[in-house]
Parts: sequence; structure tokens; C-alpha cells
Amino acid sequence: MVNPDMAVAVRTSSLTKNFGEVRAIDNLSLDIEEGQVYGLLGPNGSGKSTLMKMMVGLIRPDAGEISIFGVRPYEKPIEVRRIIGYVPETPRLYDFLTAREYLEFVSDLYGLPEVDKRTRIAHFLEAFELSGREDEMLSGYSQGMRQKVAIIGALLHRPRLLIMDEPLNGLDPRSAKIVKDLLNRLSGEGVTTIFSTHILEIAQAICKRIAILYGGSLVSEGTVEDLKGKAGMQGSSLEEVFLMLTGGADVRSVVEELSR
Amino acid sequence: MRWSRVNAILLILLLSQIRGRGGLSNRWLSKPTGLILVAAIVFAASSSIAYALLGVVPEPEIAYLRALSLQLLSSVPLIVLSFVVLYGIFFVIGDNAQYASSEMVNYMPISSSEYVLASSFSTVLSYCYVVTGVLGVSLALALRFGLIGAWAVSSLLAAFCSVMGGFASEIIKSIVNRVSSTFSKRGGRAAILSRAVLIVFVLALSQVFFNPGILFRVLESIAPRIQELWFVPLVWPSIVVAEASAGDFASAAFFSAVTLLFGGALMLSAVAVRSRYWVPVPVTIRISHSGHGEPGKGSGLKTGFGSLLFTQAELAVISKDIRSLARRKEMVRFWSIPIIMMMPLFLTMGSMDRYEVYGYAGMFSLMGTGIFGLFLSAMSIGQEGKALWRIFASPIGPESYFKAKAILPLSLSLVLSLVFSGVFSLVFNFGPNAAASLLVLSTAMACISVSVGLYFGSIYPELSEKPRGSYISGTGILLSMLVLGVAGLISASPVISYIFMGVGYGLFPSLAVSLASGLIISFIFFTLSKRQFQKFFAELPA
Ligand SMILES: Nc1ncnc2c1ncn2[C@@H]1O[C@H](COP(=O)(O)OP(=O)(O)O)[C@@H](O)[C@H]1O
Ligand SMILES: [Mg+2]
Repeated sequence: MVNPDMAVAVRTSSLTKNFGEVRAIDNLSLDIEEGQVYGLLGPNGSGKSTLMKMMVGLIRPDAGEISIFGVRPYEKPIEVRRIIGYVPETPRLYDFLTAREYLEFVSDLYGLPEVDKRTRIAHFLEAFELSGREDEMLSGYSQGMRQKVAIIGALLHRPRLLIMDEPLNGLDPRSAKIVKDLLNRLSGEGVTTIFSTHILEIAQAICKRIAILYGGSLVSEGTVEDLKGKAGMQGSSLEEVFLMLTGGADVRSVVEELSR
Repeated sequence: MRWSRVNAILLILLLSQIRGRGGLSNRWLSKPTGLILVAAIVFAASSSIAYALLGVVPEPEIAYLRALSLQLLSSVPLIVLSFVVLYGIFFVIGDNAQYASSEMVNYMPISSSEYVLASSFSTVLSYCYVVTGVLGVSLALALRFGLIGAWAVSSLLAAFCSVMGGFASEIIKSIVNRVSSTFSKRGGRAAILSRAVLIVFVLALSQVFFNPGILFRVLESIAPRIQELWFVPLVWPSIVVAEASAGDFASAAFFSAVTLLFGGALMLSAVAVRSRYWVPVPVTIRISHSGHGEPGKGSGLKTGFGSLLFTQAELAVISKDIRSLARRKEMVRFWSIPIIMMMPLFLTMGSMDRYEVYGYAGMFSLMGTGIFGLFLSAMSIGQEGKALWRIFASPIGPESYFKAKAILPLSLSLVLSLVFSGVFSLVFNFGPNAAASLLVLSTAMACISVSVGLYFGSIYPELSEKPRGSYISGTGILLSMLVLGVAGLISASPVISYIFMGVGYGLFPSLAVSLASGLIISFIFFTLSKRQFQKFFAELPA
């Protein structure tokens, strides 16, 4: 059973996942407390997406444990997915449906009652400034509009845990602001949000805590101040800490190489 | 007008058209030289095979062919023209159109005449192996009946007609582009419906071109009076061939001249329409929402009956798949199966005896139901494509998903089996025994094909969404067809052997055995598929 009083939303211990020769997640142990906005940071290929997919039970760990509110997603996927809202890295929607049809489809998958469904869809379409376009086929939607529809699809059923893989990809500044405000508000309502990004300013602005992944391992975890403290770089910016932890702060040689 | 530019555009269009068709991603085959080589090989092969076949055709048929041969030769240009236009249209209504971007005319220094020429030639070149195939067959006929002169004239005209077909498709493309965007603004449903009807129509019509039985009948009635149709530009090339072989060279020269003029006029109009509708309007398809604001007045499925048998999530998957069937070109083409299976029989039934009619009605019903059921179910998982994550991330289990994926193809195939047996029984005036046999066999076939399709579709789904989705891998479709063929034969054999060979203990026992074996086979494959769905759900395929 999903325990409602459990304070830990996601717990991984010694979690490992390999893709052939590639070790995508390497002996990762992490606790994410309920009710916060949690940022996963890391360079490309550091395992963020893989970790999030394991949270949703889309892929199985090779070793170690992962649990969502005390339930292992690969053992009881349906139970876990009922309380999760998930936005993948580049969400593909059904192009032949209209936005409204797609969102109704998603609501039905989660068993939302008819009235609830209509009001919530209308509400979110309004919030994301898609009203008036909802009866257009998704094939005609721009990348950013699709991203918004995917995000709405993750919110409709009032998830307890939101897992968003680079949700601000393709969004214009205005829409990004809408998402950021929304995450803050949801956190106030007790919803846990885990999202990955490589835009450090965003992580700094809205995450209560941050985990930095590198090569599938956890290199640092905590609030922004914790991270700076652990790295012994109190006076530095998050960017400097990030670069130092993920392959050295000195990018000058690379830049020189590039500008040659 | 710069030819180097035409050539450059042509290369790009060819590449995208051929890639869009899927399969051949070979660079070499997407080049004009490669295509022409393929066309030449097809020509050599088709002419020699056809010539060899003509050597073994028995005498009465040969006499019949001899009588028709000149008419056949004179219709070759018309056939080629219609073919190119038909596939030009098919290309426009297809999703492939987006890969052959016509938008480059907007942001590149290209004139409309350059674009039109390049685009027409690319249409011609990419289908030129079909044209050479037709020419090859007609060469075999000409050699056999000593009509080489007529063949030369007809082939020359056919080549010109394929280019005219290219221009005509350009005109159609421009107009469709404009019309469909106007259409879409009005009402999406109408646009979707008309597209579906058009696809079915084109497929059914192209069936006529590839079905010699039908083609001959049409020719028989039209060709002798072709001169009466002198006012129709499309038959001018045919008149040229007829007049030239009749020795009336003045008349032939006249019709050649007007044919050339007509081709020129087509080209000018193509350029004119293209430059007029220069800027393609982005297509947004709006579909008004049924029952908006009235709870309960959703689709009929969700209220009443449906909610007793299925959960809300299952119904959602089913109604999504219905929309996929109605709106996606890859799916819409299956709606033409009933027509394609029925048409040849209707057009040729006059000349058959009772047993032949039984045999063909049975064959077409079983094949139609089988192919329909097999493809529909085999694509059930693959059609999710890259959007499959949505299913996997949702609280719907493999059993539910399996149920939703099985019920739609199963009910549609059962309906189709009813339609086939009903229509054939009525049209051919079957007695109750024959009608019952047809019904039982096709119902069993519907169940078998769907169960086999689900099984192989879940083992070999094709989720990669290549330019043209096939939704099931090549291996999968081959294996499933093989298994379906064997299973279908096993189930049908008691009835077939009783009716046609008199083996067995009477019609009804044979029917019962057929039905029972069909249901057992289906049960086995449904069970296997269900297990396979569970396996499939373990991890989201990358
Ligand atoms: N399905 C897969 N097959 C093979 N390798 C994969 C697969 N998914 C991820 N990887 C590899 O695992 C590593 C981590 O990838 P990912 O989790 O996508 O990183 P991130 O999201 O942080 O950019 C990368 O090296 C990537 O190439
Ligand atoms: Mg990623």
C-alpha cells in the first residue's frame, strides 16, 4: 500500500542500471522528501532521464532498490502510476487527436469523473493559454504547445508526485514562468515535484533541494548553500560549483579549442 | 529558368519522396540514374516474362487477346497517364506529403516553373518503373501479334503521357493544398471524411488498373468506340495509336499535335496554379467537440452498453484507436479492403458457373476478412508509436490494454465477415446452406486472424515511426501471414473438402468441426497474445 504518512516520496538505495556496456545509474542512494520541489542536475548523459524512468516503473533497475512512497514501481506499477504525473524528455503525443481529445483520453486513463474532467481540462487550457486552440489536431501544434499539453496531461489527475524531465524545454519565457509558479503552488499543496534541468538559474530559483548527478553517480546533494559548503566554495555561484563537480571548472581549454 | 537548379530540386524531391515511401533508403536508388536502371530491369523482366506467358496461353484465350491487342496498345498511354495522376493524388493525400516539402519555393530563390518541372519529373521518375513494366508487357503483346509499329507509337505517347501525368498531379497538388486548408478551417470532420473517401476510392480504382480481368472488360466496352470520344483530350493519344495503325497518318499527325499542345497547356497551367497558390497555408484541422458541456453526451460508447463491459480506461483506448482508424492514412487504407475484395468478383461473375462462384465468394470473403483482421490487430501496439510512453506511464495494466486492443479489431472483423457473407449470399443468390457455410467460415476467420495478428503484433511491434508507419516489423507480418494461412486452411478444410470433394459426414457436421477448430485456434492465440502483452509491459521499449 501507498502509505499516506510516509515522509519520503522517493527512496533509492544502491540503485544501478546498465545499458549494455554503459552504466547509466551507478550505485545511487537518494532520499527525496515529500512536498518539495526537487531538482536533478547533471550534464547530458549523466542518468537523469534513466533515474526518472525508473521512478515511473518504465524501466527496471539491475540492482539496488527504488521505492515511491514505500512501493516498488516495478512490482506494483499501476499503484505507483496512479499517484504519479510524468512528463518525459521529449513527449510524443498522438498527432491525430485534438488537444482536448488527448487530455480527455488521459483523464479517462486515470479514471477521472466526467464533470471533474471537463472543468480541469478547461481550467488548465486556460492557465496555459491554449484556450481556443483545444479543438485543433495536435499535428498542427508547435513544439512548445505540445510540451504544454504534455504537462497538463501530467497534472489532470492531481498527482502526489510530479516527475518532469526537462519540462521547460521548448517553452517560451512566459510559459516557463507559468510552470515555475505552478510548481511553487503545488509544493504548497503538498505535491512533490522532481524535475531535471540543465538550466542552473531555474534550479536555483525554485528548487528547495538539488541533486547533482555525474556519470550515473550522485556527486552532491542538498540545498544550494549545502552544495556550496560541501564543495568548499561558499563565495561561488551554483554554476561554478556545478562545473567543478561535473568534470572540472576549467572550461577555458575547451573554449580555446572551439575558437581556434 | 536554370536547368541546373531544376536538377538540384529534382534530386531533393526524389530523395524525400522515396524516403517517404519507406524501405529504400539507399542513396543510389534515390538518384535518377538508379531509378532509370531499375526501370530498365523491370522493363526487361516484364517483357520477357509476359512473352513467355503468352507462349503457354491456350488457343481460345490467344484469339481473344489477339482481337483486343490493338485496343490494348492504344490504351497504354491513357493507362499510364491515369496511373501517374492517381499516384500523384495518392501522394498528396498521404502523410508523406510533409516529407516532400513544397515549402522550399517560399524561402529559396526558385521560380515556380523550375519547381513545377522538377516536381513533375520527380513524380514521373519515382514511378517510372511501373510505366516501363506496362510498356514491357505491351511489348510482349506487340511481338506476339506483330504490332511493333503500333507499340512504338504507343510507347512514345505513353512516355509523353507520364510527363503530362506529372503536370496534372502538380495542378492537383496545388489545388488540393488550397482546398484542404480552406476545408480544414470549416470543419475537420468533413476534411477527414473526404480524405478517407478519396483514399478508398483511389485504392479501389488502382485495383482496376492492376486487375487484368477488370481492365479487359472496361476496354472491351470503351476501346472500339474510342474515336467517338474525340472531344476528350485524355483519349487523344489512344486515337493517335488507332489511326496510325489503321494507316490514317494525317489524322494521327493531327491528334499528335493536339496532344503535344495539350501537354504544353497542362504545364503552363501547372506553373500558373503553383505561382498563384505560392504560399501554402499551414493546415490546422479543427474538430468540433461533440457533446461539449453536456456531461454524459460523449460518444455512444461511453454511456450505455460500453460501460458495463469495459472500464473507463479501456473505453478511452478503444475510442482513441477508432479515431486512429478514421484519421490516419496508414489505417484508412484498410477500409478499402472490402471493396477491393468484392469488386473483381462482381465485375467478372457473369462468366462463372455455380462452383466457381462458391469458390471465389469463399476465397474473397476469407481473404478479405483475414487480411483486414490480421492487419488491424497486428498494428494495435505498433500504432502507438513513440506515444507509447503515455500508456506505460498510466495506471492501465496489460490485461486491460489487451482487452481494449482485442475488442476493436475483433468486432470490426466480425462485422466485416457478416458483410462479406451477407453481400455475396444476396448478390449471388445463395441457398441457405451455402450462405451458412460462408458465414461460419468467415466468422471463424475473423477470430483467427485477430488472434494471430495480436500475437505477432505484440512480439514484433514497429514503434520507430519511420516516414511511413508500418507498425509491425517485416518479419512479424511475414510470420503472421504464414501462420494465418495455415490456421485458416486447417479451420476451413472440413467444409471445403466436403463441398468440393464430397469428403465428410455432411455439411453441418463439417461446419461444426470448422467452427470449433477455428475457435480453438483463436483461443490459443488469444491466450498466447495476452501472455505476450504482459511480457511487453515489463519495460518501455527504447
Ligand atoms: N535505452 C537506452 N539504451 C542504451 N543506452 C541508454 C538508453 N537510455 C539511456 N542510455 C545511456 O545511459 C546514459 C544516461 O542517459 P540519460 O539518463 O538519458 O541521461 P540524461 O537524461 O542525464 O541526459 C547515457 O550514456 C545514455 O547514452
Ligand atoms: Mg535526459
